[in-house]
Amino acid sequence: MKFFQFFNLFHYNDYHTKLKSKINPPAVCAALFIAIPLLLTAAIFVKPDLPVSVNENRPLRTKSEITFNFFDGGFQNDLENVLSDQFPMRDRIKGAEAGMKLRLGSGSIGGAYVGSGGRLFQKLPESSVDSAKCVSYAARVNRIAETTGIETYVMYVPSAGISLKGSMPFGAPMYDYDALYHALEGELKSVHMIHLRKALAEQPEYYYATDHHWTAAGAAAAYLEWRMAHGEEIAGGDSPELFTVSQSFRGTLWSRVPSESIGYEKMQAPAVKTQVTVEADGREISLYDRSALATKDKYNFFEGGNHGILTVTNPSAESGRTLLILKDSFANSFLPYIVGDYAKIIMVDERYAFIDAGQLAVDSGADEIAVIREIISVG
Amino acid sequence: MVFSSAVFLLLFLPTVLLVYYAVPERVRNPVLVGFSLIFYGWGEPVYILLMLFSTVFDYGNGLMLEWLDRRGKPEKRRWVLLLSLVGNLGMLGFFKYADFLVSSVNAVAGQVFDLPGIALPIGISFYTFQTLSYTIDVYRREIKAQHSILDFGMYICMFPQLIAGPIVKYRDIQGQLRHRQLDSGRVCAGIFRFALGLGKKVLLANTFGAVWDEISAEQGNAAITAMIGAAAYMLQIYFDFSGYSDMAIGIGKMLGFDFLENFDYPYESKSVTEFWRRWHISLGSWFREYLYIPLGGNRKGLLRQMLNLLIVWGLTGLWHGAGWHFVVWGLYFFVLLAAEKLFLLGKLKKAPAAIGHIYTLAAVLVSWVIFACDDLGAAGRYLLSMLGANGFADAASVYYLRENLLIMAVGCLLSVSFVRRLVLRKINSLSGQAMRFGIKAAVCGVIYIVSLLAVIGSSYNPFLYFRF
Repeated sequence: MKFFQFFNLFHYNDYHTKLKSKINPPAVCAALFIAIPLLLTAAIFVKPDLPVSVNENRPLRTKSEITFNFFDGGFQNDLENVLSDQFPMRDRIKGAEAGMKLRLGSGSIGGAYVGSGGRLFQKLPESSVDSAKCVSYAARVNRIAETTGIETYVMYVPSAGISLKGSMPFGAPMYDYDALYHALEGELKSVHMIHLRKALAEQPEYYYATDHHWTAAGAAAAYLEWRMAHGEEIAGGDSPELFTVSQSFRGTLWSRVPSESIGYEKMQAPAVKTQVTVEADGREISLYDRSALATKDKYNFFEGGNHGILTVTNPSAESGRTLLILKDSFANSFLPYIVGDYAKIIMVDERYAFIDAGQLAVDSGADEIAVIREIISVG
Repeated sequence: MVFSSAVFLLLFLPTVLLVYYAVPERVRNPVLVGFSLIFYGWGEPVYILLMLFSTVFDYGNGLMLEWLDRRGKPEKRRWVLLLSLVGNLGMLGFFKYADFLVSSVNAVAGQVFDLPGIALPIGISFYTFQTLSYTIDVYRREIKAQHSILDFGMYICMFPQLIAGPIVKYRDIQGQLRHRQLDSGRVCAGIFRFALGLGKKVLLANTFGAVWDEISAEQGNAAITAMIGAAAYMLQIYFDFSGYSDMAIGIGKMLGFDFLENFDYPYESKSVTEFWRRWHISLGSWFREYLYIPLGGNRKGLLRQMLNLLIVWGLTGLWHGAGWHFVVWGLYFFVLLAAEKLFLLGKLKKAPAAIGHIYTLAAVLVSWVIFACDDLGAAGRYLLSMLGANGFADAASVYYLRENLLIMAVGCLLSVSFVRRLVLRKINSLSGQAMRFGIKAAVCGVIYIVSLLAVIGSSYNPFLYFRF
């Protein structure tokens, strides 16, 4: 058959004659160069698809998603993504690559800094921060405070790389927190600023080692600042009681450096003694979503993750006050600390809910507005 | 489609080779044309038509030139040449430079015209120069016109060198279009060359590219940091471009072609003149043969030679991209080359070799900053950073040094021929051809597998030639 002329096509050259055997090493090399990639491709198309990468924490492109539109490039992109995403042992390959880089002592892997003790930090150089947008958002918050006349608190959370600078690789570029805070403060003339810089500084237990969020302990430290800003006297030993939620937490930064040599860490949450009702997206949810603990994204334990609008009602609250929170995901683990202090909390994530926050504050009769977010997050 | 993609490595290349080797020799050219069209159309389906037009156009021009010779009307041949020049350069000008021209006019005269918004067809600069070289060589009667449209089409759209060079002249491969030597030794040598090229691109160039991207994105870099960034880009573009050429030459060998070398360790040059004899050799020789020498070269006096150099280097800059910083980049080299021709080269030859190396590397380093930045303003700011406008060093400099010193040292060693010579001498001193072959196969095999896994696992894989 013509097809099998393939191996005969190669002339037996001097490799063969010197070896005095029937093996022609260059021909074997060429055959492997053709056969192995084709077998791998065949394997990708024969084996069942993996819908998600647990380690990378993202959905994978599957064969059933391949579109057949050649002219807009859809087919080409889909095929490329399927071959990459469904490549055999992809997770292990990525893990081995990260492990090798860790062993070589690399201070930056996959968009994360690797600090002392293998602690991972989000890579946030100056160019990654849209300061103008942050300032414009701060100005908008200030306008809301001024036009509604509602008492407003702003609590910006410093990124882990700012608070734990001592654990970062020396000199690793990060945005200038102080300059940014100063610029934002300049816009926020009509609000109460809750400055967390000192409270969170150089306390490794306040941030996860494999995630960019603060831990329950970090949120607890912020809660003490929050109470002081609200005029409360804080006594020693006033910290809330924490319980362990999971011993096998690995966060979003681990997904960028998915090496098994980085261990699991403990995830905690405050014990909430008040009975509250939580609603989001038109249905009742739980303040603590235990089903999230079975997934890779365990931080979603707090309220099941981000929602456009989430409402907490606490009929037994003493104050009867309503709080509107404009937030990002940092506020999710902060919320349990304050649910007992308000009759109603409306928490808005403006990334998912396109609303007029000022109007909502007025319509909902809010007594207080709070902005709780990482300092660099906008919109 | 690019070489460093999963589709190319896992599916396209092995399929091409399997089919190519399996079919009878007489069918191989059509097979190669078919696969080349798929390769080109993979990224730009619509622009296949443009490439096909260019192919038919110059195929026709070649035949017309020959026909006029046969009919005894040689005086009319120049009109055919003119038609080819206008057609090819007009097409290149329209698709590559229309936006640039309009935005330049608007910059001077205010917002007069809307931008045409024409997308640049990938590889147009490479295949246009190939078709032009063919027509000009037929006009000069250095080669005979190709009568088979299939063979001519294969010369133009052959996928190995289609989108990132080298620029292959027709006369260099005209014999191979019909008769190619194909044996396992050559195929295997091609595979080894391809693996090394892929490793250069994926393992080295992409690593250096990430460093440059990171540093150049920041404002106010200290001098050391800016230097590290520029050096990273210098290494990136060398390993990327020479890696692509290696892959093209390697695939060529797998298919039975011999393409000429495109890079010859340019960073070990002792002058900028020497650098351009070793960098992107096929482009340099194209401009020399089809522009510099026809303009008179150095045969019409010093002043005319300088004017010729100015034209050549202005256009060389423009060939690399439609932007004023590319023109300035080309003119920067004109100034250096003119200075070398006038007096500097003689002085460099008398000076210790180290002086020549340092001068060349510094000159090339500055040139890459002009080349890599998006505009002249950004290039100016970056160069000022390198000169210490934001201080000599800071903590970030320490970080970047510590993170990149090892890989940059590896890059520097691999960018000069000494290491290659040493390794080859070691391997060749081993007794037994099987042993020598086995070591080469093992090294290239490991590089290929690691590179393939890096392609699979990484989302960072820039293609630097989209502006060419």
